[in-house]
Amino acid sequence: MRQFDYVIKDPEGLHARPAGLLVQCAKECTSKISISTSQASADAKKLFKVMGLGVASGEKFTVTVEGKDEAVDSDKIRAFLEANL
Amino acid sequence: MIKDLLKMETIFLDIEVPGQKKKSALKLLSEKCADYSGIEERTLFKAFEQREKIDSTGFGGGIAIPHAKLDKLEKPFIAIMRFKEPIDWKSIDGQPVKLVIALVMPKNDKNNTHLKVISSLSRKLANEEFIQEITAKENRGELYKFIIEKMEENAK
Repeated sequence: MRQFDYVIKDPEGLHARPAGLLVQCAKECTSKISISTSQASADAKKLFKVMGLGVASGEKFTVTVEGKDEAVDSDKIRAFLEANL
Repeated sequence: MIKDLLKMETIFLDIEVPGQKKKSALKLLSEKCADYSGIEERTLFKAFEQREKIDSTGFGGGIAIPHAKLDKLEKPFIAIMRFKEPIDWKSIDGQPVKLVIALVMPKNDKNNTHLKVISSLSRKLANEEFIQEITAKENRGELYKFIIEKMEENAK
């Protein structure tokens, strides 16, 4: 299992468009990926679940990646977040 | 919060869209929202269309959440439009759209209303039963009551 924290820099938070892209990115991974805030947790491959977290700008969340490709997938998600959010 | 945004008068059912085109649907949506709010139809249409150009707001499950972010907006609101025939919305799951939940929100909003509304709506839309209910409710009174009840549960 791989795990890392990320703080949203996008002033609008994790809103619809980047959430959609994040879900796409997660779907390309074989690993099980989840995103958790202090309040709730969501399957990163389900858009409504991810948007339902309502992560605001400056808020921290934890990404957990589990599976045989977890090292690659974890790097991929991290790179996506850094480039987009 | 939801009661301030969604009104009976902003629910439009059984809407017939010429040619089942997304553009015509956005046009009708803008027209109805303009009637309700007094905002110019053109302004609304442009804002909705701009957002769709970035990428589709067809988030799956036959639902789209188009949004118009406007510069000078006194009263943000939510409108619901349900179509007689489903519309090809270029949704992320490829499914045609039966119902849209449109958000008309201010552009620079320190309270982040937009994110709050979208996230609480999404928590409901993650549930298939909720989607079934809102696409099946017979009239706007029932639909309105159902959504308000569910969303208020959400706020607790």
